[in-house]
Amino acid sequence: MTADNAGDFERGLLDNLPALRAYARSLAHDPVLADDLVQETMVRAWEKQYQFEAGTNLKAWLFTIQRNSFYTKLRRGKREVEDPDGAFEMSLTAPPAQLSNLEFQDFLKAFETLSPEHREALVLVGASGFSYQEAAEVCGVAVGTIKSRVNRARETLAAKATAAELAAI
Amino acid sequence: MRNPQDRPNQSEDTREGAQSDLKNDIDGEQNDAITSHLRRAFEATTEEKIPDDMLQLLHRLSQTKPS
Repeated sequence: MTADNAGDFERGLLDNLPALRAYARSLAHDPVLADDLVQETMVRAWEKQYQFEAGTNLKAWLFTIQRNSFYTKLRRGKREVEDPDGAFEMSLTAPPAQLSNLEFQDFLKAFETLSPEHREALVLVGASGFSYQEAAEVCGVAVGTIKSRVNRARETLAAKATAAELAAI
Repeated sequence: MRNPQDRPNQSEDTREGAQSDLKNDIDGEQNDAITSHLRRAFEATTEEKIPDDMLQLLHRLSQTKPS
């Protein structure tokens, strides 16, 4: 790898840190664990950078490394994904003006009730800007699987929103 | 009948996925609201300052040669 390529890789890694942190929070449900996960991703990505093909999608490559790191640890029982105290909701930073927005808070609560697969699909496609194809590659599943998960997640959220609106009448 | 707790079957997901684009168009308005909420939740995180220890780690890594 040339010095220029190494510099490009470093800049690319830096540029993607905010998105990696947001994705890590959706996986780890805890801001501190999430930042640990991002740091682990940075080290792994740096060590494996020779495997990255310049000109391809660095963001998707980094997200894949982070996802694999998280689930490898999860399988080893080193991470807890349950969120009995609503830690995930708290891990998502909301500006003060948003704290009083009940609709938004209701959304976060409903979002947390989704299955991990459905949450992840929505995060990748809805919030992180990935195409269905890219999200499928990150998750290692078929494109149709991602489409289906996004669709089911949206249906679930829409149903909960409707139920909440009816209850408020 | 599938238990909603079960992990979705991939082949079934793939079939359903082919129908999702059309359904998403129909539900577009509600989906836009969902997408808007999602982005709102995550933009706040992405706009946070990157922690110093993370930047220091990147600097340290940049001083090393990948194995």
